[in-house]
Amino acid sequence: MKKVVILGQSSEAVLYAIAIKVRLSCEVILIKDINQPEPHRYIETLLPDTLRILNQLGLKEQQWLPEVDGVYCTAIEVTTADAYNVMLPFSPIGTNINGLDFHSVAFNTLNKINGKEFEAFSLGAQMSRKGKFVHPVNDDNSVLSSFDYGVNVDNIKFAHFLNAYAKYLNIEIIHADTLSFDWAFCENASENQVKTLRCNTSSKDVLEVHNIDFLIDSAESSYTLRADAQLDNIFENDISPSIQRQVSMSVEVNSPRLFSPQCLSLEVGQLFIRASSKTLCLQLFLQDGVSLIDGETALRKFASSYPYLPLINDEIAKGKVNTVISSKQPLKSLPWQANVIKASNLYELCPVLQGSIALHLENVMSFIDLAPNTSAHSSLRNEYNRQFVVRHNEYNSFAELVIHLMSKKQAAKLKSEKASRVLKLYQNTGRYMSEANQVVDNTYWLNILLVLAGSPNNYNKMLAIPSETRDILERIKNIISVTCEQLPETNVYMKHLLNQ
Amino acid sequence: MSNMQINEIVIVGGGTSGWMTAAALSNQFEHLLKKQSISITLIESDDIGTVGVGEATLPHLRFFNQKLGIDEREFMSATKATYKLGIEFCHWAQLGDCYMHAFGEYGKRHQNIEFHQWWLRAKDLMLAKDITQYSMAAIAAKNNKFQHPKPDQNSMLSRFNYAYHIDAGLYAKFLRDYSHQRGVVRIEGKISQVKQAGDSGFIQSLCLDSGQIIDGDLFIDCSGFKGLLISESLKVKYHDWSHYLPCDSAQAVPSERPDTLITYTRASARSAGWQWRIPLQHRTGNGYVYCSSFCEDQHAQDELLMHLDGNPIREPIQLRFITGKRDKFWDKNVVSIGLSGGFMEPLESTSIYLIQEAIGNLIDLFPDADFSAELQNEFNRLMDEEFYHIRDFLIAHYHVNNRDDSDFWRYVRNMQIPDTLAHKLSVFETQGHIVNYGQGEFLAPSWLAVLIGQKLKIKHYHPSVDVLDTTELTNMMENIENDIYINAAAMKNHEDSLMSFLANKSSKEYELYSRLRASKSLYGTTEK
Ligand SMILES: Cc1cc2nc3c(=O)[nH]c(=O)nc-3n(C[C@H](O)[C@H](O)[C@H](O)COP(=O)(O)OP(=O)(O)OC[C@H]3O[C@@H](n4cnc5c(N)ncnc54)[C@H](O)[C@@H]3O)c2cc1C
Repeated sequence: MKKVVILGQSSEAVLYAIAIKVRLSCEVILIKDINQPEPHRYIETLLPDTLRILNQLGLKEQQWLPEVDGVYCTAIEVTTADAYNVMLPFSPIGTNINGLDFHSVAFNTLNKINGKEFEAFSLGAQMSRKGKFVHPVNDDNSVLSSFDYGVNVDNIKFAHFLNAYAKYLNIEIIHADTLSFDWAFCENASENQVKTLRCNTSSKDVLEVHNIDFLIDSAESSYTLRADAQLDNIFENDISPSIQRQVSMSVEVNSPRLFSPQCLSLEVGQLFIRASSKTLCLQLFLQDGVSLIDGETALRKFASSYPYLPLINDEIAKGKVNTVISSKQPLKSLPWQANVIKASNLYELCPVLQGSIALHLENVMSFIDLAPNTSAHSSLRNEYNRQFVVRHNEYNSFAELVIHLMSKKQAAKLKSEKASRVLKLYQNTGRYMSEANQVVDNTYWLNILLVLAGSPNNYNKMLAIPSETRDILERIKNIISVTCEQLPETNVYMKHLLNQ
Repeated sequence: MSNMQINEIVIVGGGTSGWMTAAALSNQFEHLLKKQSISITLIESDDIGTVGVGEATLPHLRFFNQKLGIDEREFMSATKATYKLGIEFCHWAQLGDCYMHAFGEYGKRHQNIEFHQWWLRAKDLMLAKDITQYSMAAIAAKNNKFQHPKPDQNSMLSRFNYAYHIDAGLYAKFLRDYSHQRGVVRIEGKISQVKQAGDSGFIQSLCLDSGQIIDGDLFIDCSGFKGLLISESLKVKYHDWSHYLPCDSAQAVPSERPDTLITYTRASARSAGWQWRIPLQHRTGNGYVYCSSFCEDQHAQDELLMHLDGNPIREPIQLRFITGKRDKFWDKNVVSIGLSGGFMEPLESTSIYLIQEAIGNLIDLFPDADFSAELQNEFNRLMDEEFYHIRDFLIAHYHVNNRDDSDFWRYVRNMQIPDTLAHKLSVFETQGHIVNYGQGEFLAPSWLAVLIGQKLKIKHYHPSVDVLDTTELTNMMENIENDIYINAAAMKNHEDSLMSFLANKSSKEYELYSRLRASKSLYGTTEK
């Protein structure tokens, strides 16, 4: 692969460009539409794994944090339909005791322990509750190694940073409107592949890009015609209708008090409240059957009544808040066909995990792993598409489970086989069986069950629980609580860090 | 909330699976056995005996033993064990050819890219040797060397793993003593009748020839191929995989041990199957696994005896099997573990590993007397995944061959293979990429060893490895090769290393290594 053309300005497009340049060292041309409206602003949480991958691509946290109004977080605050409020930490709750799972020990020792009580055994959850932060240490013996962190970022500023980084890597960025493509028969692969791209530059010249080996099409409207690619129902349990439409509002504020990303279950859908160091953003993902207008009304009503949001109320009163309504299309075809990947983020897959950048990066890294060194790459393509479907289904399953647990409609049937299996196993036995190579990490699956699924009906009572376990649990709780007390406030820590 | 704890656990069968299960459960529930709030009974029949084979293991067995608190020295003495660093496959890709599937990684990742991609490019440029040269375990094995791995992640000596060759009969006996000490009751006798509840079909009790009745809540079927409870009583279907894994017979014979004690199992392809050679301290285990449609039993026996490298100690025994697995490993109150649950042929020593996985899953999903369906479903799902993955790996050994000297090898080369394997092979052929499993074995280094060893042609390497120039690439290959060579040269020879370990001369590496946490992933050396 020598020449890769990428269309579009989404962060996924730029991430593809950066990763291909860094990892495959080929010529990368990024073509952006001339008149693209600025994307709407929202705050995104980059999860721990996302930070690690960015780091691998040379995007070091210290460099970009100040540029994107970044704020650290260690958990997501979740509020269910019946106002139950609990923290979902990014790291395992508690610690194995005598080789036994923490939650099994906790069930056996404390009997009916609920989600809220589990919080006391997670430093990440406590830090989030108290608005504290330090970086974790790399020492297994320290409680300060027991949590993981993410960063809330301003999506537009993050995109600007990625663009600047792409330029720094000598990625050619052209502003032009795509006119047409030439497809040619590729003998080696026995199929038609895109070879030439024609576009109009801002100076109205027609620019032709020849000898394209690979095209990544991340433009809002797909340019590449792939009529043969319309495969319906490729996804096992597509719950996209419930999360593909959203209403969001954002407002600049001087010092937002909300550091933990919040996720609330409302009548009309799932609401996310996130803050960077300068902006507060509310994003409402609408449930099936709720119109965008009703969604907007509900969002405004929520904002005006929510006690933690006096700032946003003032801004609404001043008319400074813009609401953005957007509706995305469900995905119908496999993304990689011929030598083209359709990469635009069609809809948010798993809002509770802030799926977009995490998911983009996983798509990107999967492509890097399978990047072809030949035009006859049908098996690599099959594998990329297979992974894509697996990933998609897993995010869907997880999202469905979370929404199900938050909405408290216990009788509703889960569409996803995995979500339903995992939930039933947990409810009836208190168990979660870890799986290797999970797309959504085991920690999230288990934590969401522990904090939201309530005490299981039954659990293994035949474990050899040491008699002093109750004391051990008390000690863990104490250490966490005392440690957390001593930690600096997140904003103090960040100020100090940014001044350094 | 259910309070109906299982009180009576009955294990049917005293082969490797029966005693491994008894030992693990007695370790797990030692506190309850002491209080006599549960009982574990194992029934075995001297008349029927055990299958009498099963001597090569995977590295996981170490972690099983560790979990049970078994001392390695004691175990190796009791089972006349030797160390195993891998399997040497001879004549598989073609007659006269040999390769090693060793327990360890190849080289080192560089710039976050797997070593084998660098190697593929270096090989294209004639800058690299056979991939075996870059495996610590393979080089140690080929030179008959052994030492315990080192925990230091920067050292090549941390990049391999090891298993054992054991006398299976002695291992069962060893675990019998272990279980007995923890309160497991052994009953000798032949089960002649199984009583099931009329409405639910659950097993209620077993009746022995002697008339003794044994009641139970949970029955673990370790009765071998026949599946006394799971098949004969509960009538759970068996999925026959002989269209993928056509070998259905084996003859096994021990022979006198040769002077040199090798550190690997040898699997030599023969006209209609393959022959194993397993070195133990006191003898060598041998056997020929073959497909009876392509080879008469007498011919198989002749071929086996002709290729022994020591005098046979007794007459060969004949075994028959059908490769496949149960539709459900756990049904009602019966969990099948070992041969009763399925058998996929011994090529990669996976049966004991599967026993171990089943025991681990059973402990993790241990039921109450209400036998929640979710636990059974989850257990069956996990075991299914293990079986499917291992099945594909085994098929690959046969299917990817270039032999043209016998009908059997032509047949397996041309037979239909599962889609999952076809996909895996074609992705690998295109660019050396290994499709990862969500769960279970085998991991990438094993697939690499076998697919490269079987001479599957990889057309391209990954484009990212073009970043190094040829000098850098040459240096990288040479450094790794030298590092391995120097480390292997410094190791003791296998027998010396084994004997001094058994003589209680402490090995510093062992002491360090045994303190490390057990790794769950097969040849990867670190805990995920
Ligand atoms: C040719 C061959 C080679 C193999 N090589 C390997 C290898 O290298 N590595 C590996 O991991 N695995 C290997 N295996 C598999 C391995 O041998 C078995 O997994 C292992 O021995 C476990 O067997 P088991 O305990 O399930 O059954 P068995 O050993 O058959 O034990 C069955 C038990 O059930 C009892 N029993 C049966 N019926 C009754 C009854 N009616 N009443 C009372 N008791 C009864 C018997 O007495 C016996 O104790 C090999 C298998 C074969 C066939």
